[in-house]
Formats: sequence, C-alpha cells, structure tokens
Amino acid sequence: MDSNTEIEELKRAFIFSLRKKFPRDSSSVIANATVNLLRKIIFRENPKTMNDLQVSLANHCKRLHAAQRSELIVINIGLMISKLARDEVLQKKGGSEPEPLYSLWRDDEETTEKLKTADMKKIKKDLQASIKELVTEIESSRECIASQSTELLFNNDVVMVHSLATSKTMHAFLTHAAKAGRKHRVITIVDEEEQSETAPDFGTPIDLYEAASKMPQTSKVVLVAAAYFPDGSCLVPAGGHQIALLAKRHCIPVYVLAPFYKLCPFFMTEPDALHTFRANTLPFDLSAKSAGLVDCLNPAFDTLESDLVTLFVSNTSCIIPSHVNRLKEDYYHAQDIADY
Amino acid sequence: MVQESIIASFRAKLENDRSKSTSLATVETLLEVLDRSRATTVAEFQNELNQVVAALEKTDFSSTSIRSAADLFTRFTSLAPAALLDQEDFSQVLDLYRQRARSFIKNASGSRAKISHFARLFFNHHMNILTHSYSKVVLETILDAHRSGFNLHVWVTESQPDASGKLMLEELKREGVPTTLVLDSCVGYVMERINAVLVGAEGVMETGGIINKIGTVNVCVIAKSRNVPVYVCAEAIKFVREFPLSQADIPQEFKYRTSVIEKNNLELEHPDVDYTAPEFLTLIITDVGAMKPEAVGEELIKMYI
Repeated sequence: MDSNTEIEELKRAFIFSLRKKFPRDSSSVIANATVNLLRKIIFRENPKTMNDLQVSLANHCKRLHAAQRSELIVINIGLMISKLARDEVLQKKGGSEPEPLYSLWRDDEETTEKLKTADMKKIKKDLQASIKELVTEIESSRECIASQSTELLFNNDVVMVHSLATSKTMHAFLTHAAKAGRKHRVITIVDEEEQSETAPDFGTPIDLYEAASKMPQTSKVVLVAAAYFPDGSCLVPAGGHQIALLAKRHCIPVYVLAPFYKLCPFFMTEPDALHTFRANTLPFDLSAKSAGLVDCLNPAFDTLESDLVTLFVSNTSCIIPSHVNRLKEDYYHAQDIADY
Repeated sequence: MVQESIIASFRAKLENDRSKSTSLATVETLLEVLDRSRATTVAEFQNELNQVVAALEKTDFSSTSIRSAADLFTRFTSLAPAALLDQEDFSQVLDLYRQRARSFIKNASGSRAKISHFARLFFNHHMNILTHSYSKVVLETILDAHRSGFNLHVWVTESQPDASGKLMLEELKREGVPTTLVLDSCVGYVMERINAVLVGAEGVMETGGIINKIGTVNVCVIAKSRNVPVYVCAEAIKFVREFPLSQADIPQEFKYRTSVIEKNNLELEHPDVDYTAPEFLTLIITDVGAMKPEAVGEELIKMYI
C-alpha cells in the first residue's frame, strides 16, 4: 500500500470513528486522536520543507473539518502543530518571531522565505518530541482544570452546573472540590431524557425551566465550553445562554471550563453557521405524519457573548474573556491563521 | 529652508494622491528626512526628526495620525543592535534605519487591503451597514466587499459641520453601492434596521478607544444600546500612546486644527473629533489582525517598553 492510500484510509477511519460514536467521545479523546492522526500523516508523507508541511497540514485539516463540521478541535490541533514546527525551526536559528506591531518594519518576505524552505529533516526529531508534549498537555488538562476548583468553589457555595452528565471535566472539577473538603451544594440542570440515567449523587437535579426560580439561591454558575474564541465569546451546550443571562440578572459569576485545545483562533461572526443540530426530538409517529411540514430545531450549542462570562478556567490558569486573545498567541501563529 | 521644502513635499503627497492616508504621508516624509540626514550621532538624528515632526503637526492635517505614525517611526529608528551602534561609522546605522523605513512603508501601504481581507469575515448578504463621516479605510473595505458580490446597503451620516458624509455617499454611489444619506440626528431612528456599524479612526488610543470625527461617539452609544456590533477599521500605524479618560482629556491639538488653535477663540469653537470609549466598540480590525479593544494597550506596551 503506498503512503497516499494509507493516509486516506487513516483519515476515513478517523471520520468514521467520529460519526459512529454516540454519545460523542469526550473532547480530550478526540483531540488526542487528532494529534495522533496528524502525526502519522506527517511522518508518512515526510514533507521536505516547512512549506510542504504547512500546506499539507492545512489541506488535511480542511478536508477533515469539512467532513465533520462541528469538530473545531481538528482545525485547532492542525494549527497548533503548524506553530510547533515553526517554533522548532526558529529555535534552530536562534531568532524569535516579531510581534505584530514590530512586524510592521520587518521585511517579512525574506524571513518567511527562509522559514518556508527550512529543511524538515533537521527538526523532525524535535517536532516529534514537541508533539508528544502536546499530547501530555491534552491528557493532563482535565486534571489541571479540576485542581483549580479549590480556588473557585468555597464552603457553603451553591453551584449551578449544566451538562454534568456529558462532561467528564465538569465531573472532575466538582469531585475535586468535594474531595478537598469543600462543603458546597450542587444544583445540576438535566435534560428530561437524561434524567433517567444515573446522576452523580452529589447533585440536585432540576429541569432547565426551573433555573430561573433556583437562580436567586445560587452563588456560582459553572458551564463547559464546546469552543471559545479570541473575542472572549464561547459556545456552550444548548441551554447555557439562558442560564448565563439569568446569572447576569442576579449578578452571579459564570465560570466556563475551557481546556486550551478548544480555543478556536478564528472570530466567530456568524453563530448560525456553526450551529449543529442534535437528533430530531419529535416522536416517531408524529414525525412520520408531519414529514416535511414541521421543522423541529434542536441546536446543540448556544453562543455566549463575552460579557456573560466572568472567567474562563483554562488548564494553565483562570483568564478573563478579554485575555483570551493573548492566550491565542501562545498556541497559534498569526501567519498560520491568516493563511488558513 | 530645508524644513519648509519638507513640509511642502508632505502637503504635495497628500494633495496629489487623495487616497493616501496622513499616517503614510508622514512616514514617507520622515523617510525623506532620513535620506537627507547627515547626522553623526543618534541624538543628532532624533533631534532632526523631532523638529520635522513638530513642523508637521503645525499643518492642518490630523495631528492624531501624524503623532501616531511619527511615534512609531521614531521608535524603530531608536532600536538598533548594540554592535552596530558601537561602530564609529554612523552611516551604517542610518542605512539600517532606511532599510527598515522602506519595509515599513511597504507594509503600511498594503494595510488597507489587509484590513479589507480581515473585515470580510464580518460581512453578510443583505446587510445594512451604518458608517459615519468619510473614511478611506471604510470606503475601501465596503467597496471591496461590494465588488466581490456582497449586496450591502450602506447608510451614511451627513457628518456636519463639513458634511464629509456627502463625499462618502458620492464615492459609494459612483461604484454602484446602494447608499442612503441620513442626518446626524437621525442615527437613533435608523439604528433598528442596521446590522453593523463600521467606522474609521484618526487614532486608536491605548485604552482601546478611538478618536474620530465628531459624532462618532453618538453613533457608537446608540449602536451599543441596541446591541449592534461596532467595527473600527484602522491601520496599526494609527495606534497612539495616549490615554484619554474623558472628552475633556483629549489633547487640544487632537481636537482642533492648528490654524484654529492659533487664530480663534477656542471657547466658541466646536471640536473636530471626539473620543469613543472602548466599551462601545466591538472589534478593531487592523492590518495585524482583528482584535478586541483591550488588546490595543497590550500591543502598544509590547512595542514601547
């Protein structure tokens, strides 16, 4: 089997694994799978120069993302690896990247030309090592986020959470606080369909429509991000917007758990374009009768504007929404974003 | 005198090429100074520059734009590798500066196209856009989007006292963009149908707020109250190290043209510009990328510290 068909096989298997799983794998698993896939692709394709590497990475990521529109993580990881490769080349040369305003007076063409023609052979080993580091960072991110719970949750807090059943990070966050001896109450908002499932024993389950009546008793709201953006806005599981608005009404802080690999470097201008829909919830006989006549929209995510979020709990630290832009610079390169 | 000829060439640049921004003309003029300079020390050269900048600010062009461009220019002509500065021959340092200034001009002259590229993301079909006064960057951004097939409707405020909005209207109409002129006092009335506000800026302040044609703050406050996004299109050379806290805190030379300051009684004059605080702005779209207003301060700190 030549390397091209092999790569196609790998990609297909990856997409199938994304589509087949229901409920969806946790995002850290997907992030890791993406890193592994891209690593394999890089070392099968064996690009000669930096430029080849970046072009092929961008192409593969675009294709993968087109096949599975809701997985922004695929793009994030692709661009992160691209930045890692850039960093390796620069480290070899011993220079650092110009900051945006500094770049105004640099003759960029020359440096980019050098960067593009950089030989991949020299940095292959280092790139492999830094990709490994990326994997460890992804794996440890849940733990890192959970460990910050003791700084955010205190005794006698009443914490309202959403999508506890689907988010392992949220679960870890709350259990870590409980283990550390925090005596807080957890109000968890559950969908009707989830209610039958075994909810963790530390939470009081309520329905989404009860959120308004429970909000005055609440002292903190914790949500999980599906993605967050450099302007400080984020996508949260559907229902989150309503909870955040209520929290704002009662001046209650909203914390959003957001591991770094969910930081999408692009501005989200049209939330509708990103909306993915969950399965139709009309009962079968009803939908059979009304086929084509009734549209039942069941969006998977809500958009939260930055003013509704108090803090993002990332794996390195807690950041306010206006600092997300700075975090973006740690993980992505401006040129990669512009080229993508 | 040398200075007079330099000021004359500055004026000529702006008058011959209507599409040239004041900032870019400033940088080009300073490059001329650099080219002619026979300075033998850094201090001497800085002195030459300062004199020219002071003379440029005496003209009636926007002091905000001149200040920001001149500051940036002075900044990068004061950074040189120590090894180079230690050498006796100062002409080598000047050569480095010249080379930097040329790439600076090259990068800066392409900035409107870059802004238009970054702004493209924020356009939609059948969008109603409100803009205030005349701005070359906004004009190019809108025209660019129009040419690539977006059917936009642009609402332009008249922008008195100099009615610069009419100029904007004419330019947009010439290119076939559906455009409506509205009174300055009509902004509250039209805002309910507007999808986005697009304004330019004379200068972007360290707070992330902007100084722009008088009336901008009215437009932005109304937009904010109706949750309409306000996008500012501005080149990165317009970032200024000023930190205005209120309208009264805007430096006087930004508020009035030099000729007005010198001749007229300021108590009777209307200022040309106002300050829009960052909380009324959604995003600042620059040639180094789109950013939240909060990020401007960070960029400036990185640059000047």
